[in-house]
Amino acid sequence: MITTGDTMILDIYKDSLEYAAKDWKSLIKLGAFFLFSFLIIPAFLAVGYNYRVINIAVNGVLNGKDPLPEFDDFIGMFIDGVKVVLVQIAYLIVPVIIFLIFVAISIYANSVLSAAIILIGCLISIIIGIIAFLMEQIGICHMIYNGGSLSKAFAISEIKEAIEEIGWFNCIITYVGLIIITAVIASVTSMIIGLIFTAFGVSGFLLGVNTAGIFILGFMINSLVTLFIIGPYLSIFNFRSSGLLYSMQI
Amino acid sequence: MASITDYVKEGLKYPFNDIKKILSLGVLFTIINFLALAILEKNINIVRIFSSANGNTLALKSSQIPPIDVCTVAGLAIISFIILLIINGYQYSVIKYAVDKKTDLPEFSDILNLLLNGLKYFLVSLIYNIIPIIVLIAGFELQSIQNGDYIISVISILLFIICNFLLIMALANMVDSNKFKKAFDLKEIIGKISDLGWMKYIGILLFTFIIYSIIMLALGIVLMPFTAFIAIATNQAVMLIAILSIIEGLFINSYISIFFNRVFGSVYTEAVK
Repeated sequence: MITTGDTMILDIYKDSLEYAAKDWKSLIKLGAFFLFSFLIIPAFLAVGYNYRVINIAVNGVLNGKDPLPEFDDFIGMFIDGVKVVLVQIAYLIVPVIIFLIFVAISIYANSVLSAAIILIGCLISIIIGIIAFLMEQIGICHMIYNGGSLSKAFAISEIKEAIEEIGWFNCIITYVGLIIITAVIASVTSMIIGLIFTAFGVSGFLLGVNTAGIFILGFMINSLVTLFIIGPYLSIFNFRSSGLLYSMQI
Repeated sequence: MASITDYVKEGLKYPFNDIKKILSLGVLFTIINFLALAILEKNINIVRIFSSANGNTLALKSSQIPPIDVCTVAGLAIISFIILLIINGYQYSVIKYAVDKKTDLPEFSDILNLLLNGLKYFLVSLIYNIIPIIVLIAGFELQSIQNGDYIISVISILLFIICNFLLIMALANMVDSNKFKKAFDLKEIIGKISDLGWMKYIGILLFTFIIYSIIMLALGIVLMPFTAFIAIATNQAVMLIAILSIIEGLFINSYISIFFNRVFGSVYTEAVK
């Protein structure tokens, strides 16, 4: 028997997969941000765009009729991106610091004890890392839902309440599923393109043509597709799912 | 506004309301940059003559420096100080406009007024920074007596941060009431910061600083290949510095200074609301 929680998560995935495929032009534009992200500001703009995706998701409903956000007001987008990145850094620094503390303690212990301490430290920081990741994701949604107030991203008790209303288990399952779906889509698409070009290359080789060019072309097309279509698609998908998960609380 | 960071957003957008004004301020910054370059060049000249001069007393050595060089440096310094006052006066008006919640950029028409306000702005900034500077110098002096004692330098850095935190509110407080005395009414200033909330105040300034750092980092990355190109094309250090100071003064310095002062004014408006 399917529980309500399972259908809820599946609905989130279905809606997000459809939502991200709604407009290929937005994907290309977001891909351009990814391409120029070595100039730093476009990287923040891309995150700012995802801020808007979450903003539509947390205020929207699970029906797939929400529009994709616009590409305008770049300064606002930039600031929003910086805010999201700040929240991410602030949360993810906690497990790192805890792990470093364990490392620092282990330096003063003898060899067997220090190995044990490092092991325990690893376990504890992984658990805390998972919790921090959940808090961070829901915290970002909570911040965006409350009009972008940075202090709301660190209102631990409110965020904990929100997670409890959705259910810790549901949250973890959703994110595990997200990671699996993302990995599968990314690897399958690049594998398909790779296979097509390998087939071209091999058949060309059997015909006696120099096929090095075809492999290089295949590699380039693969990176372009990943950069401009799959990458933006998956990022919109992930953030939309995150936002919908937040809006699942009663 | 829902979020205090919206003021930073607004401050970043604000200079784009009137590109012409940014460029006019940029021209002033460019002139200052060029004057600084000229002073530096003359100073190098003076130091070179000074070090190669005969004699072992200071007076004897200084007497051999050509007076025309010293006069040029002094003249250039005075001119750049006056331009600095005009820039400070403009910053004063930017804060004024932010406090009055006007969306357009201030005019350059009344130069005398700008000079006067600039003097106020400059003096307040100077007075707030004078204590940390004294401590810093004292620290350096102590270090030369007994090496390895960096505590005073750390204290002076902390003092710098604290004083500049207060300075931002003090400037806005002075601009709002248009009284020089109000800049040093510490009780009122601290009261206004408390009204806003210390965490909020520190947070917004920190956020502004982070945004500033990111913009500067990005600009640095964009300008790096450009700089390399000019360096290869002209093959002259002076030329390179000149071109870079035009770009920096005309677009970057002016934009950033308007952005900062707009945010400072907005923070004050939020506090007194």
